Amino acid sequence: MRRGTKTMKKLTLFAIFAALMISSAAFAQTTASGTLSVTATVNGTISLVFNSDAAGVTLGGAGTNAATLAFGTVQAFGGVLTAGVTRTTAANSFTVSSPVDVFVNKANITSANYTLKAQLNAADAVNTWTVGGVPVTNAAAATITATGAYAANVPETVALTVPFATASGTAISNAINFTATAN
Amino acid sequence: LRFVLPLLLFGSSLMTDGWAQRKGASQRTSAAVSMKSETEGSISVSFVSAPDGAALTGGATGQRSLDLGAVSLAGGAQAANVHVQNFPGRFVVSTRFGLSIQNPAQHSSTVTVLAALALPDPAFIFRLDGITLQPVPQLLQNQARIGPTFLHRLEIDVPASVTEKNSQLHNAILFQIIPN
Repeated sequence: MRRGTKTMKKLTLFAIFAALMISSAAFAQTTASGTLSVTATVNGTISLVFNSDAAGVTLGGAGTNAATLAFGTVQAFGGVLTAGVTRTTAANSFTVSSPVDVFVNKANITSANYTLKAQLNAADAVNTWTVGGVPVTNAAAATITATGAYAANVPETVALTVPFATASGTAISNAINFTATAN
Repeated sequence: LRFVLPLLLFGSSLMTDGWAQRKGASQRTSAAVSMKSETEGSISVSFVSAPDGAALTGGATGQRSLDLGAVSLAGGAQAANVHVQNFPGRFVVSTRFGLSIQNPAQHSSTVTVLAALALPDPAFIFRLDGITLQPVPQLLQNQARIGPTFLHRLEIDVPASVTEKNSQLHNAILFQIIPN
């Protein structure tokens, strides 16, 4: 009788265990998994923006790569010049100039410095243009610097020389295209 | 004892087939079918392209690829629906994709979603819904509903210091779904 009770207890315990296992097998849910492969190619680039120089004319569109430099009304002698404009007068012409900060940045590229070139957008047979003291025409891009420093405002003086022969009231307008190339 | 013994026999048969994975006698087959049914009803995950996200490629719904194409700080992204945002010293590439969790067995209505990087990446930082991914699974959602497709935002930080040497970004995000 005692042995029978023990056996029954064992069977009951085993049955409970089995029932639990069945329950577990029936309701256990396996985890799911998924894999999302991600690929991309990072290209190295450099960027160029113009900033207003503290000693120069305040640029329109400063901080972008399409800024405007307005010298305002200029004349050989006297008058009031736009803030930041410097004037020098020679025998037969006068020159107005302003420093412009050129900021070239690099990303994802191995390059110690850059070459900066400038070219006048349209031919100007009357006036003379220089950037950083280097004459600039529309014939070919002129090298302004071959060792430009990245991530720094590099002041480049933009100068326009106007002959005395130019008629009063003449509007002068042109564009200078800058190109920075990573070395 | 009358009730216990049949239960015991049934349980024994079910467990034997389920664990041993044998295809033996026909009596065991019926039990195996029961286990198979559980397998079919198990939880599954699938990736889908988001309407405003980069197109996913690859066959299996649970194993797909996301090619973000060529990206750069100054030039942005070339692939459709891949965005580049510039920050000082880095840029962030982002897109969205959908994740759908199905559970035909319907034993639970919510799941926990974990995500991990397949490989440690010393150059790029991966974020999913703002959570930085690591080789160790990170909790993405702890009460995600089963059924609807949820959109997730993948962001990858690309430092400007990364150069041509390690310009190829290649990794995988492993998702683990655990029923609640």
